[in-house]
Amino acid sequence: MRTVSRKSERLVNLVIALLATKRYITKSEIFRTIEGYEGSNESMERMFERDKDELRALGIEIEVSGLDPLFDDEVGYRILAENFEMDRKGYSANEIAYMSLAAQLWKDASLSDVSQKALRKLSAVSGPADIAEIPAFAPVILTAPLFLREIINGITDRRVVEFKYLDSEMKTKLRKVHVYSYFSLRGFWYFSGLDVDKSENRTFRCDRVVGELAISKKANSYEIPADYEPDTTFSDISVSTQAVLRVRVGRGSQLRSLASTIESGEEFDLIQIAYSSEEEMISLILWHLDDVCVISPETLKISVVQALKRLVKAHV
Amino acid sequence: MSRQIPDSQVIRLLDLVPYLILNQGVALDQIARDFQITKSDVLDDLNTLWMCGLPGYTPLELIDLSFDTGFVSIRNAEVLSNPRKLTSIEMGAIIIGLCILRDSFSAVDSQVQGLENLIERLSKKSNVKAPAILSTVVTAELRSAVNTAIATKKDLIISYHSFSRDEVSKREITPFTIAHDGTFEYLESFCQLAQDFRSFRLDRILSAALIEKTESQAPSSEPKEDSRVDVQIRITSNSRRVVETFHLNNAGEIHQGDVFNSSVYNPEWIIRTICSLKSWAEVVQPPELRSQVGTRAQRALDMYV
Repeated sequence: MRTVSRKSERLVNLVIALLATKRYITKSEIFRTIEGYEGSNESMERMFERDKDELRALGIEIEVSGLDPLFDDEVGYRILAENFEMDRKGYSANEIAYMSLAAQLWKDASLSDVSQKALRKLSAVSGPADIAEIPAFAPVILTAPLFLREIINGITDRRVVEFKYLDSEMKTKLRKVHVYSYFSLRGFWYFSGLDVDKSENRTFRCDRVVGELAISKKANSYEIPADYEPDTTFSDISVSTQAVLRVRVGRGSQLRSLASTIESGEEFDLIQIAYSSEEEMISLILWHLDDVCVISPETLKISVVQALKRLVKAHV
Repeated sequence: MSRQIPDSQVIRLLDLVPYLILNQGVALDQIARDFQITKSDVLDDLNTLWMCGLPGYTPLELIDLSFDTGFVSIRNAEVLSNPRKLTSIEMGAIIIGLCILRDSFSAVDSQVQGLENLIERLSKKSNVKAPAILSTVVTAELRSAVNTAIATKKDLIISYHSFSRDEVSKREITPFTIAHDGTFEYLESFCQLAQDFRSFRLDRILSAALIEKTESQAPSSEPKEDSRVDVQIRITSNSRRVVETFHLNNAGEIHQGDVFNSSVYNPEWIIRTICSLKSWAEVVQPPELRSQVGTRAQRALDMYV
């Protein structure tokens, strides 16, 4: 028994006809010649409008002929091959293989369904990629946020994104952002751009977005500044403070790697470190417990001592 | 807002034609696998496609399909013979993947420039930006040593910074593969020192040198005892840091005073972590661990008298 979808059949026929034609074809030609359009003129019109919308929603660009005021012509339609097809000559076999491999990295990760579709197009260019020809490297599995596609779409089409964001005091606020850039750094995914309500550029860490990330229907809502560079340092280096710490010999390798000078001693070395976030510095010192002792500045020393006192009190 | 792009039959049919042209004689099962659909979906697709073609729809214009034998061949489908253009989100997935590939080569590798050019070209053509950076702070030397070791099945001597113990140790390891959890890269290895499988965070390997294999490594060690400790922790202050440190998923619903359970491998890690969180969280259970936190904090405090 054959199961045939009349609608899919009609849509594929419409694509074939619009792609094969050299000139624009009119609606009446479509109704007359393409299989599947039947019924009254009015119902065929409705059918065609829906089909057109559906194809466009699937990412297929349909060109409409300009209405020429000199001619009383009917509107015509066609699909340009260059808008529809992959530019297969534009890539070498090796490049297609790399692109397929790149898509395969998303196996079981957030963009896996998207990548699967890309792979199936790529595999029609030159057959399955011969991975063996590519030098050996370890397989990479990654898990980017589920809404990475909205972020990429946001940047590409310049759509506004809206989401709830967790602040450091655990409160969630609705943010509205013009996304300019996205990146992954030391294990986390980020996106950055203009925070519309604050009118300032901000960077957001993807795992601090609570729930879904919504993307506006309207495209081209903003411009991405040509010279935009995301702030990836997360710290204001210009306001850095120098701390002097005693660090037990053989310990504190993380602190040592940040140190500007190290003076060796018998039981403790004396190290100097520049920091911009006191909060982070306190945490780092506390992590090292009795392997580290703050010499200066006084404010840092007081904060560490206070934190330790509270910890002792809380754990008696 | 739709998260999943629906795999519409129309799109699948349009992708099926160039696939069939390139893979003449492909088995129905293979198509089902490649398109991740059932075999009966494949048959429905082929039956539908069988009715498609150029206007006129006589045998001369229709797509000519034969699949009665279980193997598919196609003719007369020239109009759809080229694969469709990649959508911008498909392009995004490929560009990010290419960036990861590029970064997995050492900087001197000749592949890097080729990939760099490809990324730039794809990005320009599709208007999809490549990620500004994609970094795990791993040096090219380390990257190259690790890749060579895996590819040539050689051992490495690494110096590794164990974060929880705050110690640098030298270890001889047999690396198998690099795993990636989206945030960090891990070198999955057999460690001679521990006589067990270990994963080492790539960014905590301070140096790595290739060595010839010393002896045959039949990794036959007894599985290690599970040394997990169940810990109860109370949140004493509304701090995002606590939530992120313990990977609590329901961030929106966590409040000051809440108690949660966490299972940790290393008591040393929990002691240091609780201390580094200042007084935003405290250990409730088990009592030994609770008092250890107090003792260790007191010892650190004694440094200041």
